Amino acid sequence: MKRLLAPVLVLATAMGMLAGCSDPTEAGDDSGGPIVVGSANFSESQLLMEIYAEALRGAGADVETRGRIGAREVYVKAVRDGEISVIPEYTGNLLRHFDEQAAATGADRVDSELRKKLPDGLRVLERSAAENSDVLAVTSETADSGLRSMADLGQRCGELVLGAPAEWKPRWKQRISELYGCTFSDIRNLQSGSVRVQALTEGRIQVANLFSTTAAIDRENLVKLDDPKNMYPAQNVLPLVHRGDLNDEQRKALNKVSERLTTEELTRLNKRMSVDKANPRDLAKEFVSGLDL
Amino acid sequence: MFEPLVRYFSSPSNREVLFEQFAQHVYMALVPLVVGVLLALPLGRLAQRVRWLRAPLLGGAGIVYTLPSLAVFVLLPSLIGTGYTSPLNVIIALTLYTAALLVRPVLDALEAVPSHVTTAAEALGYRPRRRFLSVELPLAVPALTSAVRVASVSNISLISVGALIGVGGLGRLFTVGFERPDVVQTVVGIVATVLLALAVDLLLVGLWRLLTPWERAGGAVIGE
Amino acid sequence: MITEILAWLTDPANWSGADGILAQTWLHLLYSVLAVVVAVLVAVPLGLYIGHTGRGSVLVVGFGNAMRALPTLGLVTLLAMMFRGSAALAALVVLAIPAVLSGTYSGVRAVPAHAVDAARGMGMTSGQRLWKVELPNALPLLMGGVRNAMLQVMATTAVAAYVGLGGLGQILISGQQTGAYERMAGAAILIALLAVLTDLALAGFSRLLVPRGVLLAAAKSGTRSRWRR
Repeated sequence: MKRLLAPVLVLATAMGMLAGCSDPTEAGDDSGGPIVVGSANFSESQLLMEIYAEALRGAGADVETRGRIGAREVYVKAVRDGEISVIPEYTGNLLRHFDEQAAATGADRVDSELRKKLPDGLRVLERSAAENSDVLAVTSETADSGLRSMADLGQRCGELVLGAPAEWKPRWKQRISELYGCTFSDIRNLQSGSVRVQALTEGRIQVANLFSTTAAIDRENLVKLDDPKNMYPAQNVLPLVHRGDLNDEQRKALNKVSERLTTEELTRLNKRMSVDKANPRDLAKEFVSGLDL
Repeated sequence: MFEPLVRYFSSPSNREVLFEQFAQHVYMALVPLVVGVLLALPLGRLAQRVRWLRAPLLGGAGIVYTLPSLAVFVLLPSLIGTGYTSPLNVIIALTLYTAALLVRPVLDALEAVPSHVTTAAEALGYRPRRRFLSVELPLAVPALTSAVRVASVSNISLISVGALIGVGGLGRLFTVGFERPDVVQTVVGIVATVLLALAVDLLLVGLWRLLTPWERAGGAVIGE
Repeated sequence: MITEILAWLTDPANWSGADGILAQTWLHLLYSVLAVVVAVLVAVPLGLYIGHTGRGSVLVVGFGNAMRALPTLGLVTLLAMMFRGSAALAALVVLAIPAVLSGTYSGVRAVPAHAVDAARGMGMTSGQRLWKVELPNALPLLMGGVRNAMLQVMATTAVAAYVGLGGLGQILISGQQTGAYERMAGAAILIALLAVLTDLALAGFSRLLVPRGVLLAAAKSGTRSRWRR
């Protein structure tokens, strides 16, 4: 009996301590508390969150991360409310979030439009050259059958099924038919990128809407279709910030990140995550240590 | 085969993430278990004492038990005003499941206490509340333990579903693992979940032994 | 909020099409029923055998407990990664088996010894005893196991939408990822409704299936053992 009692008591106390300690899921957001860096629901955003967090730590800030908050609707509101101070964003999508009608597609136009449309309380820092835009991808066999550009889609679309997230249809269905004369035979809602890649390689869909930095594009030998008429807008990576939460030095640190971040670098880091299974936090430390902050 | 595992654990960040999510998983598992038991006891007692409440209580528990966890996690915010990605949704849902699962066993266990025992307690001058706490409840412990163990194991495996609505815990390793895709991380998450379930189960068995010393003090005190 | 959810649920545009509510409900039901049928085909004979002979009963208990601890989301994503999206269907079957197995097994074990002895006394062979005495008497617990398996599978099908299997969970998950709460909540209501209705249907079905005498005996002892979602 006694022999059994001791380990049970130890375990019980340990559990009690775990349960009793402050809720590990609540983020502190008092002014003067740590700077909270958040991320959206996908790996690249999480990686960028870790990079921003590491850079801010380099600038002497007390930082807390809060990954995978959810959809843009949710986290933009959280930044506005000051629950989150910094989150990685993409120029084109963020502009579109504030202005449904935005038509700009070039990097400079999108950036300047975005700065005009930002509501009070929010600001964006300098954008990086790194881009991760939407892209339509096909298998190499499909590409070899003469489909290499969205301009080739016109005659073929009737026999092709597209896999895309649910928000694609309302946003692009009309536009792609105007620009490229393409009406897909069906559009399947497939929310996660890896599901779309899998569906593509298994032949359940013939075209997938992916992010251009997705490592699976290389891994699975997929071919990105050119977009000669610039249907998809530029999507440069930049930090979205709750106004007033960062000091000069901290802003400088994030601008330094943007200065160094290129599409190649981002693709390489994505690949390290998905092929080498590297932890984004380790990658961030590596990247930021090369910045000499 | 072990090489990917070694690589996974060699990253300090991986160990850090695993520990963070494990701690949160433990927290989200234990709170509902404790609160659920505390809720089920009076409800089971109520079902035992108030005849006409029995059917609605058991029926309600049956319906709660039928609802898929993902649906409950999603609907709680609009019913009780919690944040959409708040861990509270998972904690409250699992508390409800635990209570729903336990009402019936509590009732059965209380009913199984022989009437000569309660009569004896009454003769000794025990008031109803004291009789419940110090006579009926302890005698019900063995029957309750098996139900609590089922609830604990199923809670621990259900928490992972919360990752689909953005709540942390070991389920995070599954969503991140799937996206990346990273089989090792997923396997580590599954093994950690099963080990946690096992540890809590052992703890409950230990607790049961602690609470029922008479079970080993030379045979049962009361016959079947 | 409630009005927005109702508006989403009552908009006919959301019900039609390949990704609409009707198609996804059908798919959800199809996957769940299919998985439970396969699980019944595997687990009922196995449970009858183990219950009848008493061999391997340790296996049933141990296996059942271990399976309960397996996180469904982990299992589903692991299978989808290692094989392909549709492999998640195998996870549904795997998760349904323990409930049916333990229901069948405990059903057979719970058959009163005097009934089996009487059958033996009447000169029934082992096979006849199993078929004419043990199986009918085991039905209440067996069907309880099937109902538990269905609950489990209904819930797991919702989760399996995450790997692209389709079903009502897909509407919920795409709503989550686009921040469309009314879509998530609407789908959640439908998932819950479908689970409750399916459970009721199975309860009715088992009432038809279970012989009246057995039903009366079982009602007295309140026999549905609980599993989990």
